[in-house]
Amino acid sequence: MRLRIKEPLLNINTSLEATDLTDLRSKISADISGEAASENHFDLSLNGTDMLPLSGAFSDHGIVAGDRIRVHLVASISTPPPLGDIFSLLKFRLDVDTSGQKTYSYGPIPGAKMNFIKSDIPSSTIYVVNLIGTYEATVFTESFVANSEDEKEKLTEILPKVVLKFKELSGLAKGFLALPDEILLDICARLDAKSLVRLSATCKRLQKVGSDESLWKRLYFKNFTTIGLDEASWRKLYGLSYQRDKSAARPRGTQSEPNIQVPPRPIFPDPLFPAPRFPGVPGMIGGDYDLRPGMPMPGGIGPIRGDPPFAPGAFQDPDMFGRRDPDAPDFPGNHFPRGGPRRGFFLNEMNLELLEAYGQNYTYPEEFDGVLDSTNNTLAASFNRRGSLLATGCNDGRIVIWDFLTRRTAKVILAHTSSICSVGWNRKGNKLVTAGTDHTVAIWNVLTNEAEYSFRFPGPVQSACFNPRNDKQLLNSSTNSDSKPPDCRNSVIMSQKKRSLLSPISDDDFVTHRKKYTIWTKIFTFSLLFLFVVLFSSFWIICDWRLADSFNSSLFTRIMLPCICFVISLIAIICIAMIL
Amino acid sequence: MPGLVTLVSQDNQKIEVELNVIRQSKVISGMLQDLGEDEDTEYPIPNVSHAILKKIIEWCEEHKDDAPIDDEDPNYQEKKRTQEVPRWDAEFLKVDQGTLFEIILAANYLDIGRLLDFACMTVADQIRGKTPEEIRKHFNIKNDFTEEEMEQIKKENEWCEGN
Repeated sequence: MRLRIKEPLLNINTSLEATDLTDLRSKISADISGEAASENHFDLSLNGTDMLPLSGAFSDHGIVAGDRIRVHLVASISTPPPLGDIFSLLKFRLDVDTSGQKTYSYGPIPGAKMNFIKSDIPSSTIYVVNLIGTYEATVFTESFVANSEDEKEKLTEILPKVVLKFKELSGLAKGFLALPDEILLDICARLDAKSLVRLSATCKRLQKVGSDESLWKRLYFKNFTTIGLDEASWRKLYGLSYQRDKSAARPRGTQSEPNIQVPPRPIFPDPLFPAPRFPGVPGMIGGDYDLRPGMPMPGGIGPIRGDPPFAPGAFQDPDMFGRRDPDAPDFPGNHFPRGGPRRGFFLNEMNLELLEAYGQNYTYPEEFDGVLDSTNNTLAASFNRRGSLLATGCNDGRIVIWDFLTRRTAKVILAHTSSICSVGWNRKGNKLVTAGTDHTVAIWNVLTNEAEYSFRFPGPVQSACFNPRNDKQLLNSSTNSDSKPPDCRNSVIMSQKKRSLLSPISDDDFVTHRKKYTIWTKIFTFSLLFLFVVLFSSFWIICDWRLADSFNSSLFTRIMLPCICFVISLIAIICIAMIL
Repeated sequence: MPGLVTLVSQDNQKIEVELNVIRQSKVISGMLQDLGEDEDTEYPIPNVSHAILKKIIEWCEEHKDDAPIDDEDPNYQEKKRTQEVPRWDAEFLKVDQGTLFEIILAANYLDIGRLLDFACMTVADQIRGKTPEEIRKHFNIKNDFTEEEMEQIKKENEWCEGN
């Protein structure tokens, strides 16, 4: 039968004919040359797993044509593999000169030579091995003590060191700088700011790598939350912020803010709207307005709010607003069209002309602070309490949260199926309420992007906001459409009790509210009435007494004057009652 | 029966390795897909020397049961920068610098994400807490700045040095 033999260590990979296992063994041992191959020194196995016995027919062991036989060499103590193997494995070539001295030369590096000197220690089995390496003018030695049994083992340990030394000497060694930039960058990304600065101060190449903007941007967002608008480099920014924090003796970095993880967008992978680059959004809660109270909060955010003469949604051409190239590099100095969104100015001037034609003379802010690049039409916008975040509702149902300090998108929440009419923050700044034209009002957890509650209304909801003093209460106002069911009120207060679902205040609640309300009104009205009666009667008495005595007045004045007083006070009471 | 593949290292040495072990290398598993999983084929790894390839296979064997990592996941991207090197891997990577860098290069070439992460972390750990001079000495880096440049750098980095 024809069989294939494989033994990677001995470089055997042949096919041979054999009649049975005994025949096979004899043929293999003939094939393996020299001292290592006596019959006892190798095992055979079928396909690397099933060990084969010493003899027997192939068919007894299920061996069929095409099977692969593996040869496992069993090292025999009596015949250790020659030392030359290790040397040749590591590419040392043996040269023996005329005086009988053995010199090994290292193949890959010309001129690298090593002398191998064994010196016996008298009256003992151990001996000292000295390896003397020579490369150009440098000589180094490595030595070890061994006996004949562990010599090979120790040699395999020590020889790579010699090789490395040769490589170092010849400049072939893989040093730190032999790593490509991408890996250096990867290593740098694991360092803290201080180590990174120190690493960059070592040499030019590392300075270049260590100054990479992406590194500093990441570090910056990890430790700081504010941004100076004029800085052009994340590295400088980090330094400045570090100093600023130190001078303020206020380690911001330790006041860690919740690191908002942006999960991958679940629906609509939209190439127009790439996911934010960093997982962490700085300054989500507890913005840094307090740190930099003088930071300009622009009055107008440009076209986001829409200009007065146009109705929202009328902006069909996004380029009208001077959107910048989306491929522009991601760079802090880049976000702010300081000193020149010419188109924005042009737009304002154009609007002014239009408005003048209607006889409306609006005044516009002279300075144009900036534009937020929104890919969709924005219908609603709202700042959080600290002014560090801006939530905008888009006409495609997305909520976009902007870090107003960096003017970048902090995160996007897929909120509604159609456009959002209203966005509102709660006082803490961790929840958003949105009202959409899809008849729903939803409360969003800003940190997790999840809707905590959502309600469907019978009609579109125009506006929704939190009670600033009570997160559990919402005020919604729906459109005053003719088709609305009779139970759809114009404004609905919804409240959440304990941990139960948020629900509109029921009719019963309203009734009780009204009851309380009417009782108090009545009490108030009656007390007023009583007051007026008292006043009126006292006046009457005064009139009766003074006028009768002093002026000797007619019957008309004596009766009519009190009557007029009475009527006036009655009318006053009725008016007050109606107003209430 | 475990499938075996033969890898041929830079110095033309052959190494046999189980298929499910070496699958951690995305490059090799890609090659296996392209060339077919025939056991006769020898897969050349021209950039990796025999000793390093053996090291890498040793690592792969230890980690063959690990769950595959998702490189695209931003959470993982952040996590890998802060994670600690597990004990076994730390021991495994306790090698001389030359070997460590060769392992990094090999892991990079073979695209074994986790090994690369651990090795990079090891290097980063070596850098951390050292002064520039110490780093230079540790990694045998030549200072190629001029005196003026050194002054400039010192000035630029003032903010982080004084405490």
